[in-house]
Amino acid sequence: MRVLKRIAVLLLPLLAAALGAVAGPTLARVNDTVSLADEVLAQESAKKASDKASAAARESKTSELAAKARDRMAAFDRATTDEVFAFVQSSRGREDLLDEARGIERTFRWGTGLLGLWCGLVAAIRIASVSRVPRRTDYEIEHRLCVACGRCFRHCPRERLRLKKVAEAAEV
Amino acid sequence: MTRRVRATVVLAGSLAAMLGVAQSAWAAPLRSPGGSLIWSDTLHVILLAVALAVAAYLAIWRRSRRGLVWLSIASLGYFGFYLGGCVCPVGSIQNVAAGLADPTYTVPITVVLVFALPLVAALLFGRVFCSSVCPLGAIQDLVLLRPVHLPLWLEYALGFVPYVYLGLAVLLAATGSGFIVCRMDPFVGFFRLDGSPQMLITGGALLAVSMIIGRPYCRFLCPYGVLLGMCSRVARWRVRITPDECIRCRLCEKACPFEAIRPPTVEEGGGP
Repeated sequence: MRVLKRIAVLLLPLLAAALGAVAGPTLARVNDTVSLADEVLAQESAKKASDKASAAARESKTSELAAKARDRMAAFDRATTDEVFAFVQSSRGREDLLDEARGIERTFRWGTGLLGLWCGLVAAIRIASVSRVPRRTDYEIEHRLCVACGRCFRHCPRERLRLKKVAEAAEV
Repeated sequence: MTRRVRATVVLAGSLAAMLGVAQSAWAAPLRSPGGSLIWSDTLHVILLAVALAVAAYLAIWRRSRRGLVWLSIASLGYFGFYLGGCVCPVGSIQNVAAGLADPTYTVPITVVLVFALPLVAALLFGRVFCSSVCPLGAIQDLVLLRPVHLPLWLEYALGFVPYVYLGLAVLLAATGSGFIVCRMDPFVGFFRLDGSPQMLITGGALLAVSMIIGRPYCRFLCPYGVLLGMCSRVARWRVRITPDECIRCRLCEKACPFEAIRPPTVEEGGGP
């Protein structure tokens, strides 16, 4: 059982790294360039669908197809955000934007893999340290957590006594 | 004049001098061609270094809780409300990460110093930056009224969050996707007396929690605390409960609202 636990703890960073790498493209959408590229592609797709529906509606005069075309046009309007509008107005090329976005996505895949590895390592170390009891003969400060606020000074009776003696010595 | 009164006078004088110098620098700043405030940035770094030195003196050699509280108030006033909580070492992690990942991203030397000084101080003296220099820690510490001790398992589980937050902040900064630590800063809205309702509500809620749980942001969120904690493990001079012999009264453990005091694991005779 103990061996199984050790193997699980050792595998944890690798598993977390793999999960991180898988989550990379999704997390990459927080990047403005990737988000803009997605919006541009979505707009293009909506425009194609809208054009197709309009053409179909022109050929066939049925009200059902006309309604469908209206829906498509509305979807196209929704897809056109301020960012996409600003991009269309700018001199930047579509391929240039998509290339940059794909590059950032690749970086994210690596980055989230490393993030997963980091989180997995920390988790593994923390899990492993639960069973490790350090030898302490007195009450001791855990310096990783101590923010040096000084609250414990005045609560320690030995310290109060010491400070009293120090104060008396200073007055003499 | 007793030592206590003398210490109070010295601290009040330091505070007044700090604010006076800051005020004069603000009133007549030297400007770089780009328009940035050279003087105030340099002054900010100098005052940070001075505050760290004073905090180390008060925590380790003077062992004065009162002195640390006064320094917290001064730091909250200057680094928090006066400077608006920016640039702070917590957020500077992202500038450094962005600078390392992108050669075209320039990190000003003052930001590098703001990032490095508390870490150097932690390597020498432990987390003295957290004690009374960080405005985020100070604002939480000053409202702590009736500390409640959290169960150890919960403390341990929540203590994992800052590591994830640090990793995420570095990743997003390094990929140019934004500075999440600054965007999610809960207290900057108070410091600038401005902010979105969402920011103010989050900050207010965290402050309300801080009244019963010691420094929740520092313990369960702060990414810079992870780095400071790592550095403080090897610190040369560190805070001690008492320089005298421990009598195992357990009062210090009860007094610590941050669960940072651990009980003995062996009996007094040396056996387990």
